[in-house]
Amino acid sequence: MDLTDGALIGNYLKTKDLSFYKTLIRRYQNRVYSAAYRLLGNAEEAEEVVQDTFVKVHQNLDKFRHQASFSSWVFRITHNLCMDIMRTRQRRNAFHLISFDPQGSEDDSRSIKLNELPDDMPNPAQQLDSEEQGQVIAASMTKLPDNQRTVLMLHDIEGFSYQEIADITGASIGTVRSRLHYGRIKLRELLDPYFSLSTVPTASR
Amino acid sequence: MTLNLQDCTTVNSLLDAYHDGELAGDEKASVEMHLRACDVCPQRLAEIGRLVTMLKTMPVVSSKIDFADRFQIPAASSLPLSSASSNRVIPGQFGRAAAIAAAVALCLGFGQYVLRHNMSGSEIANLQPVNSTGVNTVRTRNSMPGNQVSKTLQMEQLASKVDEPPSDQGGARETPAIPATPDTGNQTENKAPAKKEARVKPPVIRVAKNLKTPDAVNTSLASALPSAKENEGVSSGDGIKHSLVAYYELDPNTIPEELGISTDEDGLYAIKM
Repeated sequence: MDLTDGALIGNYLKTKDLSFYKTLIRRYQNRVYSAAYRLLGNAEEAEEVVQDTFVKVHQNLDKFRHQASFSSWVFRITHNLCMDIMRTRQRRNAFHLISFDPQGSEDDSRSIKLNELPDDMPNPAQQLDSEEQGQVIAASMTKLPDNQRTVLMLHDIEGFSYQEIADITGASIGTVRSRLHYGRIKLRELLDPYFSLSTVPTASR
Repeated sequence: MTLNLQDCTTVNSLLDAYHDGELAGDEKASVEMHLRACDVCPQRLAEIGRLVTMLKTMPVVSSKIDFADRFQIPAASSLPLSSASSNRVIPGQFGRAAAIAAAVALCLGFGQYVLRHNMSGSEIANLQPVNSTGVNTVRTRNSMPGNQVSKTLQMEQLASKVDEPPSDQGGARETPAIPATPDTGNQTENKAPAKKEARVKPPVIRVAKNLKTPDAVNTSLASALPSAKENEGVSSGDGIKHSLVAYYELDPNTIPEELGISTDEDGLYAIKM
């Protein structure tokens, strides 16, 4: 029988046998990577986040015994690392906007040209296979506000409860509920051209 | 029973939580009562169900990396202790590094401003200091009390200082030259040739930190190297003062036409060169 997370941690702290901790890493690495990838949309950054998550978890492992759920704790660390990256991106984007110069020379690679923004989504009219469906959903999720995407990912993909999501993100349950509601409305709108999800007009925005 | 729009709007805002089994008591009962009587809201509930099913059945994304194999206990600790130090760049350390890098970047930009406007020392001293959370104080060398860095140091000496381990408390946990952000990455301590695509050749930067030499000797660096300019930034975020000096040479022919410094609310600086 597999040891529980708590037993693995207890054994590791007692014996200092790293194999216990590595078992924990293997138990969570795919979920953590998947969550980071869906939040960041970038494999390289997601891998860095996974690595940093398990370093941070290791550094604070002796504090874990006070936590209710190991998975929530791991995802809180992952969430915080992802938020750091997303905040850095926002700052960088702000700089790009400031530096945008319509009179600038053609070879200024930093200039943003709105009509050159990438859009590699499949054509809504075409029949999508399951892989393309996944791509469309993932691409649509990246268009959600960060906090809505986070809550949707944690609930609908990772299966955390509202309370656990509140613990992970540091928001109240009411905020989690609201973000999930509006995030789903927005995602339905984005996916509607592909999947005809909406059969009735949305009553609340 | 006929329901007005207000009922549907209220229930609609609860439908997601109802679908997820996160409603209880009166809320749950009122939603169920509404669903029995309403024609539209059950359809919305079904839409939510379809969307959630699609999300749950999304293909799993995974990395080829086995992070367990790759994991190594940080060198300074063999135990998972919260006080364990790490030789990795963890966020806290990165923040300090970024603060130092921001100081260098600001000094560089300010130095160029001074250079372009041919300002005297008193004019510089009259400028308002820039305060931020990341870099507590950044002042030009001319306005620094105590003149912590001697002007007698030659460029070669400064460059050699960069690679030496810090001798005092201040720099023990710092990395000497920190290209912390992409915007400043190729500006610090970088003797490599500029990128081919770059429109202007970046100035040669040399960074020295925590230099403490007597004030008595007062030979001007400018006389030793006429085209060299210098600036100093001080970071004191943790109560310990770290001084950092950026020296750089500018060929008058390569001064960029535009120089923009932008800051955001967190006090991070980006310099367009």
